[in-house]
Amino acid sequence: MKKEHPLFLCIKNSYLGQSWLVILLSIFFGFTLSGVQAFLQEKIDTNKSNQSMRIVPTLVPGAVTGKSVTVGDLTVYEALNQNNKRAGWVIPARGQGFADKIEILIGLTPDASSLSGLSVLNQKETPGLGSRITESSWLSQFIGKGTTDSLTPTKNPVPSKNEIRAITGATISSFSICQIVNENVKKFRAELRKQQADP
Amino acid sequence: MLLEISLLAGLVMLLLALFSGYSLGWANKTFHVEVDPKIAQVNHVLPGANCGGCGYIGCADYASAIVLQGVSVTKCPVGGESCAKKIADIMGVEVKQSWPYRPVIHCAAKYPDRLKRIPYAGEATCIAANLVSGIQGCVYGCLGYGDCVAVCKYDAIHIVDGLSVVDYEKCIGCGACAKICPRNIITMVPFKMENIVAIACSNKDFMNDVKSVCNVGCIGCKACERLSPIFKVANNLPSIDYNQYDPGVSYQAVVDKCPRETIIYVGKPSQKDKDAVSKEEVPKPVEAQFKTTVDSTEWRG
Amino acid sequence: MSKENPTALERFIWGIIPENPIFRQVLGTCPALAVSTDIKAALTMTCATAFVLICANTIISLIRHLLKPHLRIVVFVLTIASFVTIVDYLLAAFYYSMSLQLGPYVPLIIVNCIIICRCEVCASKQSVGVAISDAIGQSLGFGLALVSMASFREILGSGTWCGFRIMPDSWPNWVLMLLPPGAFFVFGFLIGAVNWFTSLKKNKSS
Repeated sequence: MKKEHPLFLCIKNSYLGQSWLVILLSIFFGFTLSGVQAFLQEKIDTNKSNQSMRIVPTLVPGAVTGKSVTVGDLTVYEALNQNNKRAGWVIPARGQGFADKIEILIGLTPDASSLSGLSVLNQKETPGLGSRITESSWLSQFIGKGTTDSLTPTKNPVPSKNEIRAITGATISSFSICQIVNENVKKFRAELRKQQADP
Repeated sequence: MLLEISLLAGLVMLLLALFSGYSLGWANKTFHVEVDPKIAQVNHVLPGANCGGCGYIGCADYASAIVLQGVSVTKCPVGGESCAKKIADIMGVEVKQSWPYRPVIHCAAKYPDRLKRIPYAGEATCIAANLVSGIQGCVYGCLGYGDCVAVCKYDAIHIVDGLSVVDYEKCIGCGACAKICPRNIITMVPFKMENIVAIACSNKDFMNDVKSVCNVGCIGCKACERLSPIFKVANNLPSIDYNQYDPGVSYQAVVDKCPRETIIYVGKPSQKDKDAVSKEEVPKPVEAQFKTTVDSTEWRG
Repeated sequence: MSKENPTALERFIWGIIPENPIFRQVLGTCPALAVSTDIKAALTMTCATAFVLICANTIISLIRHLLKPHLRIVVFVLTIASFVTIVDYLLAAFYYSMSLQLGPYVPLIIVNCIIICRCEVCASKQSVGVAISDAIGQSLGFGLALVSMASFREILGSGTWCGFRIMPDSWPNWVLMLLPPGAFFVFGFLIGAVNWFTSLKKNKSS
């Protein structure tokens, strides 16, 4: 019987030596998954932007298509009507919601003075409560709101000019949406003004 | 770019694997419990009914007792002889031949046979009825309120016309009925064959005293004792010494000679019996006539 | 069902109804209740789970002799998680809308009890052929369960089946069927039906 080298035996019987299969499999799967990701990531990104492109015309009245442009250091969509003229803007935005990040698309009028639409792309809020931010009946109340003042949620059934009705049981989710809109619209307006002042 | 991502992924997975491999290896050593593999083997051989007939909580408990405490391997009434043999092989011990133990009701009196019955309006359980004197003439025999039926988990015993009757096809021999009968008229008997002779009476009185309370009880005439050495009469009541019971001998002569219905064959019905009754309808078990207004399963007074 | 080493064909047949993962073993009920609101989602979930189950069973069965008792669960979960990641990427690349609809339930396939149960019970003990046929049988059973639940819920809740209008236009949509309580009602009813059917068969054979 071949005598095994004492060092080999020591390694073989140690904790890490016993888990050689786990180590091997981990490295193997690590490489495999990074390969899969590299192979498919482009296609997924295309899918994501196609999805956004499809939503763009619905957020701006009169728009038939969208074009990805840069305004300052922001990448946004310019909504174009059938004459290829600017019908409005759609800016992607994301921020922290109640549970996890929320991704939205904000539709703006050509001068970015008021909102023309809102769409939630991605959210992981509480089903039945926070997830109701995706309902079109709730999102439609953003249409026409001015962008100069910040929007705040209210429990008042008749909200005032820069207030929106919060969802019962989803105060934080409602507040998060308002916050994301306020911050990103303010940033965009600043960049837009900069670009228009200094094209 | 791909190379960087792959290396990073591989490195992260490697670190995770090292961490989990090491900690699991350490936990395996630290929290290790020595378990005798024979326990699992014995448990596998046991029938798994968890009936408690062996006197332990379940089959796993009995298996540990056998392996760790050296308890007898023949205690399982359900597994019987074949099971005892397999356990003995695993444990490396010898086992004598053993037979399945099944209950025998030492009473043959149905409602019409029981004389001097009075209306009883108390709790309809044998244990309660047993405390009241004079419910029926015979103070030794079956009361018929079905405590044995209630405790049987295998639907193997029923009250038929006031007398408890064992269904030997379903009975697994756990002994619960024998333990619960307040009058101790059910005993566990080794069945050396599928049908054996049994004494169906517990009455220790003599002649007319018995006849005045029961139409079928043993009168103590000792005819059985004279015919065969396995019958021993004491206190006017015969008992069978099952150690001497010879499966090869037919005791039909004794059964025929008994002037009352005391000595009978009990056990699984043979094919001849089954054919004889195949055309008849099975009578429904008769419920006890004495009911209380209180739910008898929960009232404890 | 407690034979020592069932054959490949037995494993396959058992997976469909006698040991149906949802109705008989009651494992992996989370996706069954959550995604059975319409047929397309149910079928996609079935395919995703089937892919992971078959691949995981194959790999585990190939390395079954190398598994150490205290590390086997780590290996199971590692394999299953990797395949679920692959499925997640494939779904996002080739069926993006469904990927959005299924949402968090695709990553939840990792902790779907059915898969790790089959690894533990069958793949780590029997050969590759048996493991694969077991995986296919269980996936068919899972699919059967999901599609039957989704049929009930979609027809009653939306009046359609796989997008085709089934109910007349005057049908008032029983919205409860699309919500969790409806899922539980349908689930309980179908478990009862399958158990009744199985006990009928058992009585017939005994």
